[in-house]
Amino acid sequence: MKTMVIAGRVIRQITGDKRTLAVMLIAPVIILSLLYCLLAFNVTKANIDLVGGNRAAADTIADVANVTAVGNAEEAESRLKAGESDGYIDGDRFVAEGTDPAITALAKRAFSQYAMKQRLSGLPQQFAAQAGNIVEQPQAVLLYGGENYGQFDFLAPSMMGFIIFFLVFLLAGIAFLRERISGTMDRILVSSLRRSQLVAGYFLGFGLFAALQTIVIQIFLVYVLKIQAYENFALILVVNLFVAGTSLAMGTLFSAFARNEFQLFQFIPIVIIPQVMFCGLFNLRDTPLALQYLARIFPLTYGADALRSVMLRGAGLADVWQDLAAMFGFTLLFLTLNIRVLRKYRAI
Amino acid sequence: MKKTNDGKSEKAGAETGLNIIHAQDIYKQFGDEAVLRGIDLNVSSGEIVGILGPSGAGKTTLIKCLIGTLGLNRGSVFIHGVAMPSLCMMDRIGYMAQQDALYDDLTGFQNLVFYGRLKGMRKRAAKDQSHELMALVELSGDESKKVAHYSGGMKRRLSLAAALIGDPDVIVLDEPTVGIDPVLRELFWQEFGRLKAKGRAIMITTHVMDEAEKCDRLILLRDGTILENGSPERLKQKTPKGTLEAVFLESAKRQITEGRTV
Ligand SMILES: Nc1ncnc2c1ncn2[C@@H]1O[C@H](COP(=O)(O)OP(=O)(O)OP(=O)(O)O)[C@@H](O)[C@H]1O
Ligand SMILES: [Mg+2]
Repeated sequence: MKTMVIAGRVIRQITGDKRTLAVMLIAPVIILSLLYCLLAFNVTKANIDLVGGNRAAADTIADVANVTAVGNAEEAESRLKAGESDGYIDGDRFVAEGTDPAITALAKRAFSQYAMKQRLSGLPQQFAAQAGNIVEQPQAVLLYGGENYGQFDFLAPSMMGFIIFFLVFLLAGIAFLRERISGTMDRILVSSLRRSQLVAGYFLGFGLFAALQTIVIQIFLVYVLKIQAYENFALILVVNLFVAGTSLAMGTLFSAFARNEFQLFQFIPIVIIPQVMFCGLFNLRDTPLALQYLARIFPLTYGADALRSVMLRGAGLADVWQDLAAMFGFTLLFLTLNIRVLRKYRAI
Repeated sequence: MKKTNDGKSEKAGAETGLNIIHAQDIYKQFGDEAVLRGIDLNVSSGEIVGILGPSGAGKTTLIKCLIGTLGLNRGSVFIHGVAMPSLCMMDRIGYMAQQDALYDDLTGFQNLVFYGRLKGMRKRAAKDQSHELMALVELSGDESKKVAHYSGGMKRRLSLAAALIGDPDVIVLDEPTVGIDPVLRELFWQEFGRLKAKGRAIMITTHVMDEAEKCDRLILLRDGTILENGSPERLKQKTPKGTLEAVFLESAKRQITEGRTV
């Protein structure tokens, strides 16, 4: 009963503060749109200059490079230094700019395709046709994903988990912190409200907004950005509620160790940033074991893993229950700690 | 180990009503700093007890110890004979904090209803009483205004109303009249008088001497001990000037090494 009173107040507070509401519902849309644009308009071709050279071979690299013909090596060199090209081909010399690994990789691909074609064209006519068959790329069959599946589709589930985690951590943490600073914590505890009911009320209140948030994000991802993903709305909602729950438990607990908002923000580099790095942006398979264990102490690792399984591989509840259990464990741990810490405000 | 002062006031308390708050040997320290050192205290129903003392004397700390929102290092507090902190007693305490302790994003009315509901009131009853209390503190016209847009004095008034919701029989007010204009202050004291007549046990901290005059009993706190405990009249007789101001100033000068307590 009293849990509902607290939840009702939390909800009224958030809806009463239009900015908070906007941050919860509009910020995710902005972040995802931005990421979508950045990845959709990512560089896919290197700019390669061709000095003299084989025109036919140049055509064969048109799928990985924009080729520009230049008069001589000096011109190619100065264009490279001026940033006008990413690399050039001068006979047997292949030069790339080399600072951006992604672009260097594109340039190298162009170089190797070009070199291949060069060598083939050097062969006698009767071998050339056969050799052409030999070097042809095999057709790969994809178990998941598909024709238009791209980097954004891969990152969207992790980002979704992260956004929810981050915003709930911040907003719930600040709300709880304010409760301590403004003295309302003392006051609400001068009543028969139990400490556990206080925390449960926060859960319900913020849970509602986290649910709203995941629905907004899902609709946006599926219908506006049209990501390639399995649309298991219900299960995604469940996973996100677990993510939000863990985040809320963490945020409210950490707020106990901050004397003001600024101190709460100081937890971001320690608590939030590592989670971004471990939530699937990088593949940890070949990292040192210590790093892989480190990843496991961050709740978002499990949340993002579950979201990827559900959205990218069409996993069901039976496949992600372990992730959910892990997050539930974290939530329980942080909650218990939080209810203990609240003893400071009232011993019972 | 009771002081003579305390003994007398206890008798006075017995005349006016039942003993409601009973505190024994309260000892509280923050880190190494002892803020309360052995406080004994009784408050009866129908009694207004004023707590005086210089800033930092430990008034707020004492109040929080009494209502159970601060743990004690030693000693015990009973309210209605029940050892504190006790969940069921919590609903019977009305507490006005020194800070306003209100939710800025809610309206004044929503704040009151919320606190009423926490005290276990039903929605209807909480709303009805909130309207009454808003009228009492003259905020009827600002019921649906967000507290963020209230003035300092308005917040103070709302904070008092929040302490009174649910008709608590123990009323603890930490500097209730700071930032309140004289007319409203008068009104507040009329209300305190009414609550007293209804048999409520009331504790008020204040720095204002003419308010202290209106209390039935004054407790002068300094350096965590009780320097004086008695009716305003009795305290006034203690100085040649015969004013509370003089009592207060003199006590502030006195050293604790005089050993009046524990
Ligand atoms: N949470 C706390 N942690 C550490 N020290 C504290 C804490 N609360 C109070 N104190 C210290 O206890 C002493 C008494 O503080 P308290 O707030 O009770 O004074 P007060 O009599 O209410 O003063 P004022 O008239 O200014 O409100 C002060 O020295 C203060 O520094
Ligand atoms: Mg104080």
